[in-house]
Amino acid sequence: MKGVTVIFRRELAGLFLTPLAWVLLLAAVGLNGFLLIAMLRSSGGDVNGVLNFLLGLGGAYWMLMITLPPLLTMRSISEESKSGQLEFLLTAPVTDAAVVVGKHLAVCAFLAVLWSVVPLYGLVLQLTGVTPDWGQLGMGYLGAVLVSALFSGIGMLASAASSTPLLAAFLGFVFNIAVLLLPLGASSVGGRVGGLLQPIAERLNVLQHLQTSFMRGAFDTADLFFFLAWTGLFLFASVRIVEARRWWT
Amino acid sequence: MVDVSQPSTPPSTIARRRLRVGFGVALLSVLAVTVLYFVLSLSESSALRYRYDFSTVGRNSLDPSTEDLLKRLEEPVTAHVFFRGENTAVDAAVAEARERYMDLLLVASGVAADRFEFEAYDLSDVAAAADRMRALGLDRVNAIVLTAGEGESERRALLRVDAESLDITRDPANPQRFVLRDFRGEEALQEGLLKLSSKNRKRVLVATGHGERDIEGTDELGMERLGKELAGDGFDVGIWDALENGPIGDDVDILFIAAPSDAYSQEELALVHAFVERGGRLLVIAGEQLYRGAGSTGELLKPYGILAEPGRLMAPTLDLMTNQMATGMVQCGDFFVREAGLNPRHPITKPIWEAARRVRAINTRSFERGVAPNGGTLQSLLAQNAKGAWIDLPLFLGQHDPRTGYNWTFDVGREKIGATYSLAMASEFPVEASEDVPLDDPRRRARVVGIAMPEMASNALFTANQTANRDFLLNCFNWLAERDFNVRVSLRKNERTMLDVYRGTELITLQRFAWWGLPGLLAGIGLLLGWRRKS
Repeated sequence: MKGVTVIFRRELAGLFLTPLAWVLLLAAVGLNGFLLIAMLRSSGGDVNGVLNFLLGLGGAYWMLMITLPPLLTMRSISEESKSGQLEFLLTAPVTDAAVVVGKHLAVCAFLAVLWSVVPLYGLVLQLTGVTPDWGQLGMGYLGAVLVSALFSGIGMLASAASSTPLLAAFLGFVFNIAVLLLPLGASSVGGRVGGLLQPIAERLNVLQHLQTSFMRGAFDTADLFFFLAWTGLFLFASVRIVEARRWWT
Repeated sequence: MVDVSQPSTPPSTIARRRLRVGFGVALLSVLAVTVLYFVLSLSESSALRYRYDFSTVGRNSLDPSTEDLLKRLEEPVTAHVFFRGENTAVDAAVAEARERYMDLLLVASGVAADRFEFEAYDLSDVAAAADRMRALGLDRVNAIVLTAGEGESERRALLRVDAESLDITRDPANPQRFVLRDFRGEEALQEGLLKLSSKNRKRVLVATGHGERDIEGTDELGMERLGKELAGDGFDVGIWDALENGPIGDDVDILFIAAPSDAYSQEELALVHAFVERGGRLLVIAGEQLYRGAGSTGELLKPYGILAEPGRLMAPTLDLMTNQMATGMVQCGDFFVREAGLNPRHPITKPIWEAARRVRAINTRSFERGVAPNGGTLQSLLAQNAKGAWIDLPLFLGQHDPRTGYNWTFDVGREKIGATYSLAMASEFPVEASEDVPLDDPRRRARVVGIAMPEMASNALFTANQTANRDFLLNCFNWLAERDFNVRVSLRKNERTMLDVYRGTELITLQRFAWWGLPGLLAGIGLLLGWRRKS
């Protein structure tokens, strides 16, 4: 656990010191701010509907969700491996799992900060006298963090499996889209392939697990475990790959 | 020379090591996926699953009575959803109802995942949706069909989600807009589920063999639409021919006699009376031709206090040529029973009265109040005539229509005007039952409804445009079957928290924060960090 904490702090500090992170943060906040006002105007002021839009219902949310995690995780392992830093890290008194989990948690924390702008909008609204549905907003935020964790897990796996950061980002991006669109694709593909894909798609339906609980202001242990379990699987696979790297050469 | 350098690992050993590592990774991957599968399965099992609703308005919670009902369902129920937006002034309000119904179904399917599921059909795939709607006996969109059972034993209940069935009103702040006043979807869902329950399944027999309207007839005078609607409302519909079938069985709840044209024999009438005296329920629509006299519907209804008046009920109608109310036209026999003519308290007419809708009456007869059976009550004015109505008596002389004998004009001295004439009556009275029948059992009382409007059930009037007629008739069946479940679920407050985007200053404050404050703060911190790092 200590190893995880050390790696987490090192990575988080590293993230907040890179210009890329601030550019991403600024772009996301700008986009969310623009959408917030535009949606409030077009909906006639439906506060909860708009905040829900920013936390799961809107296309911008998913665009950020599939692009940001790979961009943040792409350097985590592949670049360190390329530059030789990973060798030092792996010889340090921390386990491979601690390295992967620590880095992943740092990315998740960064994304949690990024999504916290939506509750901040809620807070400003509260201060102006319009009370949003805090239960729904809070759960929507938790859902956003969990989806970020899942997609960051995929990004970690792509980073561990790639030799260059660019390839890692590309693979992570493609995997994220694939995971997101898998249920849609499975339902549109007929025949035997569709039949094979369908059960997998049902087990990996990110949208459904987000929309049936967190986005509606409900906390559901089944949906929580869905995100945690899949994130855990991707991190487990990442650890195995890092471990394999050690023995492969 | 002797080679003293470190001996290198033989290639075969490297290959073996890589194979071992690869095999280990593959094995662990399989193990991890298996663990994942079990974790997900366990987390979804109802015993281990925990769900808590954090939303302020409780949008993820159901009334405890609904939850209880869902968990106690005898067999799995599927809700088939056919929703589509329509280009009407009220569609914004209907859209809100559709959204809230979807919410409701989602929550219901979460509460009882193994007993209740829903399927929303894509109506852009017109052919597929039409096939499914046909199979479910549905003739309009914006409806939900609940089904239970399969094949022959499939039962259905219909929930309508259209402007007529919803409580829609004008927005007081903006009269151009329509809003949903109260959303009673949860009550409707409960009622639908109760109708699907086998113990609430009611059997209706439709009389045939005396020129009655055909329950499968697809022409204007047929009743195919009613038949579908009854099946959709959870009734089990069959046919009764007195000559062929004889006495009506105890498994029958309602006997429906629709506008016969041939007389019933005294033996056949006796079979009907015997059924009613055993606590059976009777719905009679007055005949167009055979209305009074021996073997008529008039004779059939007389013992229950419902007396047939002679003639047809007419009302002055608008003459499009003079733009004034006039008589002497065939259109006088086609009028509407408006809100004021409907009983606001009786379960049959109350929902129609509340929605301020009007029932269309064509070539209608009328009833007169007789003497209610012993200990019974007679609701003589379920629906009554329009203002200025009179009873037109047939006479095959002078100006009268030689086919029908009516002249659609009030004849002074010969015809009646200005009285209150009843178009539908309901009679309820106690009947003798054996001692083992509980006191509150429906078999201890009989119910009879007489409708004086011969076209009430015909396809011509039983359309989506005449929703009041349709509801009137369905309410009759439900009242007769005592399927008024009296479901009462507390209403939820409006879910929307609105920001005044036109007049208030809140939006300006928020815009300053979202567009300039927060991005500026982040840019400042980023630049500061960059500068510190550089220096």
